[in-house]
Amino acid sequence: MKEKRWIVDTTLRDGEQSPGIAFTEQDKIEIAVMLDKLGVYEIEAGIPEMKVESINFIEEIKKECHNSKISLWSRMNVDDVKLAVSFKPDILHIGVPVSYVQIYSKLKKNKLWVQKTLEECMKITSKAGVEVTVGLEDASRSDEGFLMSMVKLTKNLGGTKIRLADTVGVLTPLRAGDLVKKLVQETDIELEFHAHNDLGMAIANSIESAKCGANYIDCTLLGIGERSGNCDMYKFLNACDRNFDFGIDKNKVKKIEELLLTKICMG
Amino acid sequence: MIRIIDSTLSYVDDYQVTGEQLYKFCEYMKQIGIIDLEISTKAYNLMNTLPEGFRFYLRLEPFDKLKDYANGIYKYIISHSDDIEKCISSFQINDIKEVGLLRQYSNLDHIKIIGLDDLMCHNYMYVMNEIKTIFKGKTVNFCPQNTYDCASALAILWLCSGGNEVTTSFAGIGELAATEEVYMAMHIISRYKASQSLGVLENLTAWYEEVTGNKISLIKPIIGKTIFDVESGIHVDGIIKNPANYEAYKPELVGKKTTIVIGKHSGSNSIKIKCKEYGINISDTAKINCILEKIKHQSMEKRRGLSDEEFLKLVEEVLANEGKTMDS
Repeated sequence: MKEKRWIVDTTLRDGEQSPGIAFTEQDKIEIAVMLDKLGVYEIEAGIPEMKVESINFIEEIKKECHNSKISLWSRMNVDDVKLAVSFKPDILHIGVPVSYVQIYSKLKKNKLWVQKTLEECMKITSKAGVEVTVGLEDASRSDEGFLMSMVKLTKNLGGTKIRLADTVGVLTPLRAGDLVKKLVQETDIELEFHAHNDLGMAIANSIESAKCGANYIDCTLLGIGERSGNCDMYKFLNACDRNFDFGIDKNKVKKIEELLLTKICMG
Repeated sequence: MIRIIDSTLSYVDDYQVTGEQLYKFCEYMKQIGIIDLEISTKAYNLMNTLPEGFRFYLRLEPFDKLKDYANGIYKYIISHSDDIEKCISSFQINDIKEVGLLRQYSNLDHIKIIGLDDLMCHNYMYVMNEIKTIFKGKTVNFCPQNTYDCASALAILWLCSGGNEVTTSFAGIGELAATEEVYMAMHIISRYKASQSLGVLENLTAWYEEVTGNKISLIKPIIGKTIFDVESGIHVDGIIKNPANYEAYKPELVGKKTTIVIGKHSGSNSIKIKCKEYGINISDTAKINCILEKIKHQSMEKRRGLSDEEFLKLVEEVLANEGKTMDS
């Protein structure tokens, strides 16, 4: 019997962040409904902080989707998290930079600040009763010791799921598998893997992560996303649905891609 | 030592390619430091005299005669060959269970394994080690096929686990690992050709599009036209502070540059930078927010980012409505 794994679709969040792509609220609702019928576990619907989409849009997606969990993404920022939980998503992804380059030169903060701010953010989600996935950004370039300490902190704060993000797409399958294995062995937290395709290895890295114990794999339709995109859902399923049970008919993915192509301009 | 054999010139037979274009390709490849090129007999004939400074591997079909292609060839690639000096014997392996069949060829000095497209879904390290054990001390060229979009990763895994030779092709033509992806991954992981400039990849991309008539996807890793475009506020902000925040390598390395695109996901920093690019000075936060809001709505209406012309028109409108003119 094939092992069960789950697809987290991030077309409407990371996919839409592709330069030049801009969905309308109606586009997002239409795509979400099709993804829901397809059987993806979770639909990451967007970033509330964008300020251009109304509250109704999330409400509408939640109303129209009956199977998938609806999630939102937020920076690790107390005000952003407060705003995000007000939309009452099923899951909130909090993006937590963990590489030193991102902590010191993007945030211009330090490790203590990262840990303290995560605590503050998770108090808010806990109070609001919203499930959290802590997205360890740029995990592929992080210090493994610090990465592990962040996973342990997440667990201590009541978190149950980590998103391991290869933010700039530099992992190889060996390294991706090694990271996932270590986290599975050291902690019993659930793992989600988020690939980028900068070196053409998003599919292979996602397969290896699933083989090594990541239960959730992030994908986008047509592989859209920043720079060279994310893990392409159809290609991923085509490569490994013999190994895993995703509960998705890969041929139906093509239908949604056709709809998506009418809404974007892509080379 | 790592050896990447680029086989693009054995996959362009179906296109109207000229000898001059083939020479050009060789020249470009030399500029990125790849001098091992696999060619077809058609390419051999079209080039008439092979250029100096390369190791050419000629792929012979079953009824081709080796003596007809005697000039300038480093090695010949022949399917299931078992006796000729200067020859690489190639084997198509479609199923990992067929790997054991290779034992009967363990006496060969140089072999090429083509296929194993679904290896990623199996215990690839076990299979790769089995191959290395069979051909201990010999040279094994691995040429993974790309049916499941994992060929580049498999080629890299082979090189990172002790293999030293792979066959690839530019942009993955022929359903193989993409030369530029394997090259760049090894460049980042193992400092392969660390001081090499790769700006000529832009010429190679243009060459590929001209010869094949196929457009390279805008987001194709390493060579896609828009891979260093950036729109989202968080990413623009991060890149301004330090490009390494969101770029795995410098765009200039591959002849590209970071381009800020204006659209739904833009932040105020992008507006300031874009205005500055056009000599417009706006420091008033309220005006910037007003421009930003209009950009986001217009971008959603158009379902795309805005061109620079559209952006400038919008800025002009906002400033005019405020009863002020642009400083420039």
